[in-house]
Amino acid sequence: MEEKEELLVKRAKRGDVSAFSELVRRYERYVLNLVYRTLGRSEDAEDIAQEAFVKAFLNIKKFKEESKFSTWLSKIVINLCMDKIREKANKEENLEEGVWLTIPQSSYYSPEETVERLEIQEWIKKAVMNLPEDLRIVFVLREFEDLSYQEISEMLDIPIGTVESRLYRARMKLRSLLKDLKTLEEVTEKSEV
Amino acid sequence: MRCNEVKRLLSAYFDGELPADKSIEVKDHLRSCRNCAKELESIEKIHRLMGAFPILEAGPYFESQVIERIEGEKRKRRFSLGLKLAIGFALCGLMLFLITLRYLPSGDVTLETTPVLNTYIQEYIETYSGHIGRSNPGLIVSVSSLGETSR
Repeated sequence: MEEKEELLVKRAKRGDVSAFSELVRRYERYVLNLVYRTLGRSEDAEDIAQEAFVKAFLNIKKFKEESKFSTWLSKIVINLCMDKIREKANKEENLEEGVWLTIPQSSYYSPEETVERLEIQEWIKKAVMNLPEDLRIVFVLREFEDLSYQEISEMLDIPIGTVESRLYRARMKLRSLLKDLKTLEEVTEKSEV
Repeated sequence: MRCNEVKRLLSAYFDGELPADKSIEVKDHLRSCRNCAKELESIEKIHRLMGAFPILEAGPYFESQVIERIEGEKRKRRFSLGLKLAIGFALCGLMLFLITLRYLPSGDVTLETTPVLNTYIQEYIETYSGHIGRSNPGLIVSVSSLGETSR
């Protein structure tokens, strides 16, 4: 039977690495994809996700258990991702907004207007990565992690009104970027016909 | 409610984050306004599209690599703590030694039994008394008196 998460956390707080190892097993996919959706890079996502777990273990005594372990862990991941974004920004110039839109339409739309699944995925990823960092983080936390406005507000230390307006702006931007893209259901329907 | 206001609230409406009264107002508006209903549809479409965002799978050694990194970090911390303690003890020892040296009575037995150390201290005092003396003559008195003691 699976051991309860609270017990694992308590054991990990006493320095029990095997208990923490079980927490890693349960959350590795979640953390890895949160990093990936926030930074958009698959090549170092695993390395950063591991770094987040190491930080979590070293700071687990500070976890007061007032929130869910996953929320506390997400906060560590988001802070780490923000550090990485800042580091990267210092190293190289930011890409100009809308650069990805220069890809010719013919490369993702076939003459028959059917879109390959992988191409859709790639376009969606690029659209999300094209959002400014502050909008993207809020969008990822809401859309993929399903956090409430209150949780996002606490995690990022911003007012709920800011969460609401950033989400609105993120969606408006995505709407214009993805307006011509078909959903996977539409593609599937079309290819079945 | 006007369209502009409704459009601004649609995102929170979609997330179920509007207060009940506002939510009812938006819902009523959407029944009669095709434009705003289309806006809501586009938000729903974005949500559906996000279902196609690529998903990564962790490698087979992810967990063991995390544990390895944790152990490495623990070793580093232990070493750093040990180093700090060692430096602390060494500094305390040195201070005790210097204090003892300062208050030793003349013709001290300990110094006679350790000629190597004695020579070293004498050289040290001579070097520094000369150096300090050039910039602060008042200090020579105390250092040279220490030197005499050690002799």
